[in-house]
Amino acid sequence: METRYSAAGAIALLTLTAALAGCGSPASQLDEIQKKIDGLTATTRAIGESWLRGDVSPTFAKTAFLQTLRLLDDQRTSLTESPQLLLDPRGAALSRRAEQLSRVLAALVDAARQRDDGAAREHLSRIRAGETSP
Amino acid sequence: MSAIVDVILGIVTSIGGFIEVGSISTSAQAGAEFGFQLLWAIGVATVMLAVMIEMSGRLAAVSRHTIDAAVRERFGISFQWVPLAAELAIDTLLLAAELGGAAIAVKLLTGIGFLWWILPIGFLVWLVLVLCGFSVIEYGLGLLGLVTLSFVYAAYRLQPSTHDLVRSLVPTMPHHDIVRYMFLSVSILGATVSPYLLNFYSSGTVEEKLTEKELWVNSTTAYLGICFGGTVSMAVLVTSAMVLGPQHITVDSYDQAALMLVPVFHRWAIALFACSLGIGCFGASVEIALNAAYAFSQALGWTWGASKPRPDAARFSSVFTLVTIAGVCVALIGFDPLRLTMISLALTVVIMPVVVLPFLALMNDSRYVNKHTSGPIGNTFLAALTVLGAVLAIVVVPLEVFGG
Repeated sequence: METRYSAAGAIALLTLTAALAGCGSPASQLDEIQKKIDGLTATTRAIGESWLRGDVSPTFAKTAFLQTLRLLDDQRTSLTESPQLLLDPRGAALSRRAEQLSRVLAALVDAARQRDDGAAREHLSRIRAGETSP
Repeated sequence: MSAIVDVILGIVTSIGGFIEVGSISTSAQAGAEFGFQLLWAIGVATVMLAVMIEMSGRLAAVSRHTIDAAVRERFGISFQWVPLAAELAIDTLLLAAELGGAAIAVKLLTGIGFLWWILPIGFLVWLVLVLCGFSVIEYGLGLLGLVTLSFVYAAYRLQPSTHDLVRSLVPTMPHHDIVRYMFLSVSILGATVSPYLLNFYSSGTVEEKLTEKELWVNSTTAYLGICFGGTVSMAVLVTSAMVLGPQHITVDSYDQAALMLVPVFHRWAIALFACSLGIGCFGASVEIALNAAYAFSQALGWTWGASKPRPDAARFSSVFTLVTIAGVCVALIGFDPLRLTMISLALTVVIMPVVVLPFLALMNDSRYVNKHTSGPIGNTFLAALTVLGAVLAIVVVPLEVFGG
C-alpha cells in the first residue's frame, strides 16, 4: 500500500513540476514567440516564392497566407495578453514586427485573391528587405 | 498460392495504410524542429507496433478470439469497462482528428474552409462502413494509400546523408527545447502504436478466418508490412527535416507541412500531399469507427463483423453509426485539427497501459495461445516501454497544454 502511495506521489510531483515549469519566465516566453514569428515569416516567404514560381496555385497561396495570418494573430494575442511582455523592449519590438508581418500577409492575401503576381512580388520584397525582421 | 497473395496484399496495404493524420503531423513537426534527431522514436515505435500486431494476430488465429473478446472472457466485464471506456473515448477523439485531417486535405485542394467538409466526409465514412465488407475496407483503402510513397520518393531525391540517418537511430538528447522533444517522442509513440490498431488487426484476423497453421502469414505480414510502413513515416520526417528545417519553418498547420514536397514535386506537390493526407485520414476514420464497433460489440457479446449483412449485426452497425456521429460532432466544434491530433496522440499513450497490459497477460496464457505464448523478455520490454511512455506522457502533456 505504501509503495502505491509513493508511486502516485512521484507522478503527482512530476506533473506539478511540469505544470509549473510550463508557466515559463518572460524571457523564455519571448524566445518562444520570437521563434514562432521567425517561422511564420519564413512560411510567408516560402508560400509566396512557391506561388511566384508556379509551384502552388493562387488558391492554395491565399488559404495558406490566411492560415499564417491566424497563427500570427495567436502570437500577437500572447504578447498583448501579458503587459509584462509588452513592457519588455524585446516584447515591444516583437509586437511591432508581428504587426508589420500581419500587414504584409493581408496584402498578400489580397494579391492572391486577385492573382496579381506583381503586387505579391512587391510585398514579398518587403520581407526580403528585412522590413519585418527584428 | 493464395497464402502468398494474402501476404503480398497484406504487406502492400500495411504500407499504404500506415500514414494518417498522426504520423504525418508528428513526423513533420519532429523533422522541422529537430532534424533527423527523432528518427529513433519512429524506429522504436514501429518495432513495438510490429511486435504487438504480430501478437494480436497470433492470439486471434490460435484462440479465435479478438483481444477485447478475450479480455472480457478472461478478466470479466467489470474489469473490461475501464479499457473499453478509455478506448472508446480515445477512438472518438482520434476519429475527430482524422476527420479534421481529411477535411483539411480537401481544403488544401479547394480553398474552402475545412469545417464545411467535416459532415460530407463523416457521411462518406458511414456509407463505406454500411456498404463495404472487411476486404474492401482493408485492401481498397490500403492500396489507395500507396500515394504516401511520394514521401519516400521525396526523401530519396533529397539525398540525405546515410551516416546522419543511421546515427539518428540512436537516441540522443537535444541541445534545445527538451520538453518539446519529449512531447514529440511521446506523440510519435501514440501516433504509431494506437491501441485501436491492435483490436482492429485481431478482429480482421478473425474475419479473414486465419488459422493456427497460417501463423507465418500473420508474422510475415505484421513484421514486413509494419516495418515498411514505418519507413514511410521516417520519410516524412526526413523530407520535413531537409526542406522545412533549413528554412526555419515550424509546422503549426498542415498548409506549412504541405510545403515540404514542393522542391521535389513542384506543381504536383500540394495535390500529392493533400491526397496522402486525405486518403490516409479517410482510411483511418473508417478503421477507427469500425474498431469502436468491434470493441463494444465484442465486450458485450453482440454479433459483430464488417462482412456480415448489416441487419444480422444491427447493434454492431448502430455503434459505428453513433461513434461516427460523435466524431463528427467533436470535429465540428472547430478545434485546431493539428492541436487536437497532438493532444489525442499524447493521451493515447496515457491510456496505453490499460489496453496493453491485459493483452500481454493473455499472450502468456496457454489457454488462449496454446504453445505460442510470448517470451518473458519481449513481454517485459513491451510492458516497460508502455508504462514508461505513459509516465512520460503524464508529465509532458500538461507542459505542452498549459505551457503553450
